[in-house]
Amino acid sequence: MSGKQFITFYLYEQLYGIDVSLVQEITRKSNITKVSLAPDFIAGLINLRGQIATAIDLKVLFNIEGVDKHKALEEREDLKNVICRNESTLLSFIVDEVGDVIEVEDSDFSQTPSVVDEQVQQFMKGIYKLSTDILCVLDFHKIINFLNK
Amino acid sequence: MSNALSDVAIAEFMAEGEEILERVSNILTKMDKNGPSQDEMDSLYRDMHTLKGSSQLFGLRKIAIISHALETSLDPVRKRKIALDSDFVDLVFKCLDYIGLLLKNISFEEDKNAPLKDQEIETLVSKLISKTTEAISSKFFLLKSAFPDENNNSPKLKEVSHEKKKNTDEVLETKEKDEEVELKNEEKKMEEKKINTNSDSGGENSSIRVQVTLLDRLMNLISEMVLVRNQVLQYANGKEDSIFFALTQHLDLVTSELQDSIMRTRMQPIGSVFSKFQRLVRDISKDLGKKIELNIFGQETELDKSLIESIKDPLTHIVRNSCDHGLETPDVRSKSGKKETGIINLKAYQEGGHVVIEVSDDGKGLNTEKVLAKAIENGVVTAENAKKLSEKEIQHLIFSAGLSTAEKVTSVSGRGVGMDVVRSNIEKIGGTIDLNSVFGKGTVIQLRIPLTLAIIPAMTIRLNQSFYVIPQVKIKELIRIDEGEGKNKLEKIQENLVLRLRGKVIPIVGLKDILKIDSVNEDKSYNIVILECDGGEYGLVVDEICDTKDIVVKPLPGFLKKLNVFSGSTIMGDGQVALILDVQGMAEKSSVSSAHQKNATDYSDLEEIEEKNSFEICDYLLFELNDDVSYCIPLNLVNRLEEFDISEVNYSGDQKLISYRDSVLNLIELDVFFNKQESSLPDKIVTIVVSRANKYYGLVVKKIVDLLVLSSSIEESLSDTTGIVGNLIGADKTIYSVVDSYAVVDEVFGRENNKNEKSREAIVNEKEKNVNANVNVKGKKILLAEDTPFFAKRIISILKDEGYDVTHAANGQIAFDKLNDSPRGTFDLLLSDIEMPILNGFDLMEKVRSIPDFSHLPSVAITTRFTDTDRKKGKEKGFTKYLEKLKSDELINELKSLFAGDIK
Repeated sequence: MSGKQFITFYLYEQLYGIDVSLVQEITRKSNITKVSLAPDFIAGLINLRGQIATAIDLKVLFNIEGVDKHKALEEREDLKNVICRNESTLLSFIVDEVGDVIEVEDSDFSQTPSVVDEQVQQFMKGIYKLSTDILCVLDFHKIINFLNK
Repeated sequence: MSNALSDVAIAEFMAEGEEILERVSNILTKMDKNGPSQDEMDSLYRDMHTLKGSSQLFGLRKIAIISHALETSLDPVRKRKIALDSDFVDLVFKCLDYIGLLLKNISFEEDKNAPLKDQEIETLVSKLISKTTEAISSKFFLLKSAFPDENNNSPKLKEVSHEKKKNTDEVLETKEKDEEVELKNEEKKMEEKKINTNSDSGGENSSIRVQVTLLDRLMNLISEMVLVRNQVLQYANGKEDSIFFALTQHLDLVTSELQDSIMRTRMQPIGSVFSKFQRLVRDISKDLGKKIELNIFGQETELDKSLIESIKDPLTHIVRNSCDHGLETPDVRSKSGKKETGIINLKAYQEGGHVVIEVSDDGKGLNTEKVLAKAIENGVVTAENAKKLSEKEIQHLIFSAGLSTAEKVTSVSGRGVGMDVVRSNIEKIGGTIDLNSVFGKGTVIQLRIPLTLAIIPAMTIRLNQSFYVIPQVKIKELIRIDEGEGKNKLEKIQENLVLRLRGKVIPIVGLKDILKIDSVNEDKSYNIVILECDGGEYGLVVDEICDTKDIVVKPLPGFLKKLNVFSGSTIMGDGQVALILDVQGMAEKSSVSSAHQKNATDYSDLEEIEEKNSFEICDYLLFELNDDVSYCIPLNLVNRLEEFDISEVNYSGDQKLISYRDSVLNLIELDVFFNKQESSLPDKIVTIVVSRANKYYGLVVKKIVDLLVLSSSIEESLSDTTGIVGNLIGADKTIYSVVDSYAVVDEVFGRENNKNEKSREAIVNEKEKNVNANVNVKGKKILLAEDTPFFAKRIISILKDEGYDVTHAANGQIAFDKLNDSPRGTFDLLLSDIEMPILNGFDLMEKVRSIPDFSHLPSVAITTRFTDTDRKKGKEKGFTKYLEKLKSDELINELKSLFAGDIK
């Protein structure tokens, strides 16, 4: 099989995907402890059954404009956490809505087009052309590298 | 047997083997001292059997041979046919070591194929056998050569199942073979007993090995379970269902107990480390030809597993040092009137969140002269600085790196080989090390180790709606300052808050300022947590101080640690994540740190020195006038810092006054005083309030800069400017002129004036007057021991004003010589500083009191070090009074009453 599987989620209307092997679980919005002095896109820390995950507000990180841009996190409805991990870091991406697990063909892959905002582009692997939609695939390691920079 | 399976089995065997070895050495050391008890002897024998059996099962022939030989030779001992002498025990130990070595290097293929011609084994075994046969040769014929016997047995034994029970059966079987000659009755009796004890000891040692990661995972899960329990409880409280409620109560109990037990899984008794030292000490004492007795106390004290591992080496080093360098050889000991057998005590106990481990010996103690000489030679301290070091500080020199490396190379006598490594290892795990030694009497080394790294006691504090935690070890004390509270009030230096606390000035910073959070605290009072960091202390203002509890520390990802204000995170009872504040990082980040860091070096140095109780340091307040000179004034002389508005100033003649605390504050413009400038008061008048003879004086300065902790060794200035005592050199080489407020006040208002004040005051205190006024102190001779010229000058002038005849000595030793060499009765009173080089006040007093002529000499201690413990120590050493330095009125009164008592 030449395809890859991605967990998909939405930020506003746009579909994003992340490699299924990196995703540990998906949870509802949970209690977040804010970290003072941390950059805005770090929403805070959440308790994941005794482990601490750092919650990243992808909308802020990607600088995506939208209706709730100026809304505080607490006021935004129906958020989900996509919990991803590598060996050392447990991250929780705060997203609007979680979609299906999508299997894609390598042949549908193409590089991120330059029209995509640079703020988002730097975290992307590329895009997949789906029949109905375009899937933006995130590069988890690029995000981690950015955080540790 | 598949490979994986055999790997597991081997690992089990190795673990079991190590357990056996440990148990056997423990028993042997005990026997070595007190003679074997039958039970112990039996268990020893049984262990050897087990070892032999299982090693044969795995085809580990070397181990099998040695353990078989051991077993055979121990049998007659067990049956009381031969005595277990010390040589024999040595031999057994050697065998055990060898088995230990083999166990560590188990490699199956090799072992099976390798020829059995290990020279060492043969010698060991033959030695063992000859030892036993020699002892019982006259009577018994029990032993055959171990070698052929063993080889014959091996193949058969291989069939034995590795299950323990069956093993035991096999043990019995082989034993019967070996001991055909024994009487059947006795045999049976022994076996019964053996089986009994076997089950007993099986209970004692029942344990399994578990991966630490699994324990960590359990710990995580249980904290999550506690959270779920809390939610269930909350839900149950809102329901009317009594059965459900009862069930949740039960759940609550079980969860708490589970949590407690899981917390304890990581804890291990420290005895597992301690017991190894019996053996170590025994070996060393043989090597060195010393007689050493090791006493162990508190081996049941529990410590986190990982910590136990990391204290093993440092502790071994310390114990070895005690044996090697601490204790003397028997002949030296008996010459110095000690028992030939040196004693080392190893003690562990829990104290707060720490485990204290003490290693004490009754040996020769540290020779401070030697240590000092070495330290100077190696450039650890300069010869000049060395003079200022106290006994205690010299002792601590052995922990410094420069000293010990040289010691290692030369291996000259003296303790301190690698003690720096010991210290750094202990500090790495958050512990501290302290040493106390009395030359000729012995040494005590004390380690303080946190109970566990993963769980620490911490204080929860609140800011707005958020909770934060601070590790308990960093917290010095908690202070609440209610609105309008006079004492302990916060003062401002250049917009920075400071708190005056028992003579110390502590910078204060708000947590909300550090975290840049807007906090509206309705409460007008201050909750301050005094924290300890590398650079000293500071106070953190928080909204609320909640409670203390044990928290499980969770690491933060690197990109959050970089913020430098949080050191980790933890999960609170309600499941919320709370951040752990980084006390050091906050100090660096906060606004206090600028002032703080500037002096970081001298702070830390001096802090350390102060801890070591060496030479005197003093807080100075730095201020500026309208010139280029940096001024400072000893903080002890400062009452308060006040800012006034120009409109508050009144005039009495030329004198500017401000109404102040039911009294009058006389303003002295220092610019006018020192620089002869025209008097010109700014709109905001910054004053340093000092008092002299119960009157307040406000020294008007341009700006108050900072606080500085400096050594009080003031260089006396050459130019004799009134009001300037001398110069101080700061860490950054800035020269500060030290202002003497007394001299300034006296110069401006006249000494006579102040004297009158004093007598007026005396009239007010009529009672005191009755007691003291009649006392004629004129010509009374006082010997003053004081190393700091500034204080000496100050005190001498106060005393001379009162008519005393004062002789000054620059340190304790000089004072003692002066006292001892003068005809008896020359001095009526001894007045001594505490912190002095060469001989400090405490030691001076002890020396003085040891001479019968001076046993009743009135003696007064004056010091800036004014704590209850010091005061108590002073009293113990023989001081009649213990007074605070620079409180001249108190000094004069106390002296008078002393002489009054004297006359009566």
